[in-house]
Amino acid sequence: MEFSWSTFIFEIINFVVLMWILKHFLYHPVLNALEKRRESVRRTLEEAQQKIAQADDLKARYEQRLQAWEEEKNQLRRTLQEELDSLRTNQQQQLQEELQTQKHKAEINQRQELQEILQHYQSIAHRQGAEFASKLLRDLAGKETQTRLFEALLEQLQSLDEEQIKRLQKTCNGSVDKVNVCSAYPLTEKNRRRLQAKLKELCPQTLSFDYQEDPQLISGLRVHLGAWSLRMNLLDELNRFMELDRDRLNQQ
Amino acid sequence: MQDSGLSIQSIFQIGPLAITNTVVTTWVIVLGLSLFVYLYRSRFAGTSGKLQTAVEAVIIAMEDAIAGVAPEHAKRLLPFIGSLWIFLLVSNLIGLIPGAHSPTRDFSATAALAGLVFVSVHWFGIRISGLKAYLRHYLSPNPLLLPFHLISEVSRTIALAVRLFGNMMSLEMTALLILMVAGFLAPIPILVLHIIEALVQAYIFGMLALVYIASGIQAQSLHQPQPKTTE
Repeated sequence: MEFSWSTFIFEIINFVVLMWILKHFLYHPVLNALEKRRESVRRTLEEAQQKIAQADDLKARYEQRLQAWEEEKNQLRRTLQEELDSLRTNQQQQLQEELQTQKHKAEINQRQELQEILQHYQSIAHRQGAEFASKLLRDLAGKETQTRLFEALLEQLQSLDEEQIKRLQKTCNGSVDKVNVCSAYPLTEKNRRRLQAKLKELCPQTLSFDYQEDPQLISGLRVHLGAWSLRMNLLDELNRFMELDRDRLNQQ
Repeated sequence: MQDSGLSIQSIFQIGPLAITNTVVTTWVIVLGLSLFVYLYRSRFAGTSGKLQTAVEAVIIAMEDAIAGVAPEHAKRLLPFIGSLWIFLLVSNLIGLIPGAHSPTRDFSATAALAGLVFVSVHWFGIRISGLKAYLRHYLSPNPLLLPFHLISEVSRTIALAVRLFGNMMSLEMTALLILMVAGFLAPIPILVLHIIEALVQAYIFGMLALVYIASGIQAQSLHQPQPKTTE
């Protein structure tokens, strides 16, 4: 274990020189660089923290805004639902009223249609009845029938009231002096005299009588005295029967 | 042993001062580290690379180790303690190079480093707390303990020097003896042990220096409620 003072001194100098070199050219630059880097990292972290805080703030703000939007949306939805309910109720009510109206109209139309159908069939039945009666009377009617109708005419003339007799006489007092008598079968002389006597009894003025035959009358006779006419034949009765049905239809 | 290379050889003389191979090796180490620092600063400073990361990691590790013992004075102590670690590590490992010898196997070199530690303890203690306050701790807790404090200062410095010298010298001697006895490849395990021992001894020397300096600083802190911050 030798000891050399010169080595001792040189070692101290060497180490101090080395320490100075390392301190000024290694430790300080590296430590400064590290300090700058730490400062940069710290600043970056602070900026990141600030950005996180800003982001949290924005997030909270946006969440509040979203919540407000959600509430507003719910409110609008409720309002819209109420409006839709009201509109639906109104429309349902209107539709119900319209439906009632249409139903009422349909019932009326149905009744009218039923009425028309009923009338139609009544008319058909009436016409068929008239045709059937006309056909039946054409086949069955004869001189006897005409005789009975003649008797009925005389009875009718006999049973005229005062008012009717005055109207007849008023007609006869005009320019009418001719009586047309049309019958389905020729009138017997006896019946012609009876008719003339009856009419002269009602109209005292002088009248001329013209007798004609018209098979279309089926049976019975028709007497024209100016505007006044006496119809006592089956054709006119059947026509009156048809007109009766037409009048009833017109009245309805 | 004179011929085996374990002895300290004088290379040349500068007046009364003999330049030994220990001094020359130390110069080489200082020049090598200076060249490394120059190259590092000129080529790698400001760039992010493996070398810069490694250098920064080493410096941060040293700073953290110092901060673990003296947290408030890590930056102030880093140049001295860090230089001790680096210098001792390189000095201990340079003995692995054939033909080269560790400067730390020379008691003069380890004594010089221990002396620097001795001076540094008082230097940092006085700079941080002042001369009067620093000297007062030798009288605490009782002035009767002053001789023991003084003996402790000297003995731990001598122990610091002898421990490093003894370990490194014995390591080189062991390797040399095995090489002479067993042959060419037999000392390889011993070389591995040399690496481990070099790391451990560098760490122990620097850590003990740090503990001594920190104890000096904290001894003042016990008497000063509010120590001066000179950082």
